[in-house]
Amino acid sequence: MNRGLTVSVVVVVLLLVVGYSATFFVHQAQNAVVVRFGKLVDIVENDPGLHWRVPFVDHVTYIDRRVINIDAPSFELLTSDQKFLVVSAYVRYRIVDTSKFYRAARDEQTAERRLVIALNETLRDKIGSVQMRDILSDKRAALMTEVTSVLKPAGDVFGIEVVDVRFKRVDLPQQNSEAVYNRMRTQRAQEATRIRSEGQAKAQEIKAEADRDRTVLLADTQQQAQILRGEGDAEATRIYNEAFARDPKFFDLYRSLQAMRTGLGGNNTTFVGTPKGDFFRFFEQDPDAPEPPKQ
Amino acid sequence: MAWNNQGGPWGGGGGQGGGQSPWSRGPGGGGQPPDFEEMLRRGQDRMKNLVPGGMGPGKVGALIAIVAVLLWAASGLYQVQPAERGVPLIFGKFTGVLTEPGLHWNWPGPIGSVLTPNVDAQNTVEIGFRSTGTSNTSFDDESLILTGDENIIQVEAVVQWYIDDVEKYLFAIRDPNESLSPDALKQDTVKNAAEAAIRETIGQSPFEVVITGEGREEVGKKAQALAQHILDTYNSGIKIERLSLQRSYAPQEVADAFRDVVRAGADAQSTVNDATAYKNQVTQQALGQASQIKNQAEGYRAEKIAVATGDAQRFVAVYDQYKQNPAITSRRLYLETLEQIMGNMNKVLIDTGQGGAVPYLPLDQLLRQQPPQPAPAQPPVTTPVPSASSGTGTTTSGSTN
Repeated sequence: MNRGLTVSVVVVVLLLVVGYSATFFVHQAQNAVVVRFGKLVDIVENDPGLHWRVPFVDHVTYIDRRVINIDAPSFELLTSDQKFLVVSAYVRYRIVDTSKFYRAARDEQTAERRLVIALNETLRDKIGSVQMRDILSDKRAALMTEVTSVLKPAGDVFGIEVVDVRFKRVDLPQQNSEAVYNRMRTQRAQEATRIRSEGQAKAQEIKAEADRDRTVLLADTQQQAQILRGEGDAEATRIYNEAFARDPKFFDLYRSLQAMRTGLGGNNTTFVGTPKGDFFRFFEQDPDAPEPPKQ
Repeated sequence: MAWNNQGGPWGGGGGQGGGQSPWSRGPGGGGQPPDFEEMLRRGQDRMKNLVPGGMGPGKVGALIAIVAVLLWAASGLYQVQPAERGVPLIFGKFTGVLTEPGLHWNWPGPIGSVLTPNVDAQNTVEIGFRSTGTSNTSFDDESLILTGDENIIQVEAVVQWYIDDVEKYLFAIRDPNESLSPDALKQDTVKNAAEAAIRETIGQSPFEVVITGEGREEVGKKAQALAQHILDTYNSGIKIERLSLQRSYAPQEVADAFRDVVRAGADAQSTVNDATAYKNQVTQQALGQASQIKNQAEGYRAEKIAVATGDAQRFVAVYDQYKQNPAITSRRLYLETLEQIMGNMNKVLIDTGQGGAVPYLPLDQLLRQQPPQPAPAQPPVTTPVPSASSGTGTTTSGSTN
């Protein structure tokens, strides 16, 4: 019983081993080439799944059929207006001709190395013929399309379709960056000065306006004040006239006496003179007294 | 890029009989083929126990084989989580039918395998910075970008994306780093496309625009459209949900200058504020002053009128009495006035006579002596000199010379 079992197990295992050796699976995302003693005998393109081969003789190489990415190293390139740019691009490609790719490149590294060299040349060429302004503009997209189309023949050699080339980064080299920073700094300094000056100008304007307003206001007020005073004076004059007009003669007396009292009043006036006149009428002589004997 | 010439990353072929490629993540047993011998031995023991009477060896063998096959077949059951889709492969070929979340069966390894990408997850790519816990670290290489007017700006962006088309996502595009880990998200694909799009967009925008909030939003929108276009040309099956510039700011090297502009704005404002304060002060002072002037003038007017009215009434009152007896009243007023005046006055009464000697009067001394001793000065001076003749006496005449 044990021997029968062992035999059947061995048979199953052998079948499995041979089965594996006679088949190969091609993944959904792959193509494959079958090589027998160095000779390409079969190509599996766009046909994933189970495939047959001669056991232990055929060698299968799988080749990716997806869109693959190359991150190219950064290049320092000179534009036509003599500006250095550090450009790093990436390339997207797809292996479209499996057998051509296998014969020409064998593996992706080889193809990619060549593509990067071609990319470098193309970029040097293209960027060298445009101005920096163009790279920083709408023309960038057109430039990349151009680079892509120039790169296509380089890919064709390997059965590769170059899908897309993109500038990941377009930067200035360190020392040029410094120059840009300097320019930005001076621009900002100008801006700051302008803002401050504008502030001062505005402030001065406000102050001047305030001073003007004050002067105008005070002058207007003085005007009003003088008018008021004039009104007062006029009214007073009218009142005086009305009163004094009753008897100009009496007014003369009354007002003269008043003026004398004010003008001569006080105790710092000295009267030097003869005691004569109306006031002194009785100073020397009593009118009712008997006439002194005449000498 | 570590491309294995002998078998590719998905191995599978070449007589290893293992099917242990990273793709054939076999359901259940991780792709390991069952250990037949072990299984057989175990099954044999179980059979012996079950059937003590014993059967023919052939029958036992067949039974064991059937059980083994059943067990193997059962290992083809797999579960798809709610956020996932099942992608069953047979011999590496996609069956063409995605399976919904739940329990499903596919051929177990090495024949079949299942991929279960997460289609609901929002994946995030950070550009220009990496969020590490609470703080963000800036990556100058990524974040420094040349603007259209040849300035340099620093930008931080976030891209959110999800798998839109599973088949395309898995089988039409390869991520730069995928050979290292086949299950990894295709972050670098998204990142490359987004970075290229952002740089291209900013490369066409002036610095002043990108640094503002609206400019950022605008750049984000344009870059999102461009990045989506790029990814679509690769047939990537990736959908960008949102590409947004989180921040855009002046690089470290020029940050001070930019801050100074902000400061300048504040300075200008404070200068203007000072001026406004001055204006308010001056205006208020002037208003106060004006009010004072006006009030004074009004006061003057009122005073004038009041005084005039008073004077007039006084005059009228006196006049009314004067009319009763003009001679007496005028005389009385005259006398009263002179009385008052003369009473307060210093007096030097002299009689010039007719052609007599002009008396010497030390007027200076008199005036000087006056304030300290006004009273005693009077009696000696008042020397009435009798005179018969009438002369005119004035306050000034008859003095020196």
